[in-house]
Amino acid sequence: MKCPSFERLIDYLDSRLSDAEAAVIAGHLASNCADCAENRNWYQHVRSVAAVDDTVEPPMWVTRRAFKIPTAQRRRSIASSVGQIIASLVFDSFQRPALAGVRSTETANRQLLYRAGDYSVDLQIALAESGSGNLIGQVLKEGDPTFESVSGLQLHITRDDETVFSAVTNQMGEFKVSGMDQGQYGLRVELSDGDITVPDFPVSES
Amino acid sequence: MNKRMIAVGPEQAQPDDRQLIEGCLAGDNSAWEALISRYRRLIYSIPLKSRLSPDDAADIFQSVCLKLYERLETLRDHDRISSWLITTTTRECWRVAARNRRDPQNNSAAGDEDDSIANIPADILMPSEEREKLEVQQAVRQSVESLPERCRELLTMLFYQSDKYSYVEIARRMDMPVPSVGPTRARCLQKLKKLLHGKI
Repeated sequence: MKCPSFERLIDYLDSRLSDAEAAVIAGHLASNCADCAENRNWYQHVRSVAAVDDTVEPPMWVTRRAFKIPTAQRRRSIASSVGQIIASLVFDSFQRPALAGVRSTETANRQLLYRAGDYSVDLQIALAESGSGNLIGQVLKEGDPTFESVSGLQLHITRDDETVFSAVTNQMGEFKVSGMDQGQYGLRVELSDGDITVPDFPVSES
Repeated sequence: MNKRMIAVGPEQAQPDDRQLIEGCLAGDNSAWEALISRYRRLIYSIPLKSRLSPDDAADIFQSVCLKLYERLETLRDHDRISSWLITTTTRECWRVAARNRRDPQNNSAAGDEDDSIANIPADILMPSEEREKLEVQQAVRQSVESLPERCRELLTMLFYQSDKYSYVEIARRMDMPVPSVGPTRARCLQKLKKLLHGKI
């Protein structure tokens, strides 16, 4: 017989033909027709590749965050001459006066709040039983309720001017780092238009 | 009821990776978005296949995309971006997994093991069969996604959705006459075959 159409061949391979129609095409394929065998092999291969494709669509915010990389990098290079904004400490939970009647046995997390222009950097430091420090932080920008300007920011935690930890803010501007030895650290936040530097914050019991 | 026309349209002239990279280097944001969109599933799925959390996968995605951006110039002449992405993403997964083993609470800190992981050969990071499987899956999906809309819709239904649809159901979902399903599918597959020529 002459070659079946591509459409009929695919119907055959997908088991969509009657037994009688399928038998005719099976007979043709058994005659070693090179063209039809090539089409069959191609289709079966592609179909099997797709069938085991278990890749996952990333959340939209993950993709959008990556879309912003060129803009952020370009602004950074343009703004490199702007330099760093040094953040200033505006709140330290360990410095507030103890309430009357409250005994000073609290081992609560230490909260530090820094301001740098329109940005604020909130740091919460806790010590694990092992003595190592855990840092949870959030970068916020005034007048940005969507967190657009604080998601996907690269952060560097430094000690003696060396980056010892790095992190990226999530879609809410939050980040976390754990397993920190006790001591003094610095934090640098890479913004699209410059850097914010928190020069010195403690990870310690007092 | 009037059924929709069944024109599957010409293959869209999708820019190849090199053209997209040239666009990125020229400052064209849409080229960057197209490049990331093309490989988004590949990059995001490798950490999940490595049993890392969705949070880790999101961080690795960003980190790999940043590396991609920083290396656009050198990747311009790279034959297969997917191969470079698989290696880079797998290295990131190893780094994050090593960190998580060292400190399960820590999802994002950098450690000293980075240099040693950077030196592990690609075929040790991921077996070559697994790498090849990912590259072929990427090529097929990328080609399906670059087909005209109606073809993309039809082949996605046939290839990537777990339910096996009858022609009647496909016709209903695509708002086309039942007798048109077979010929349309055949034309779409011919287009796909042309797009995949030499790639798998």
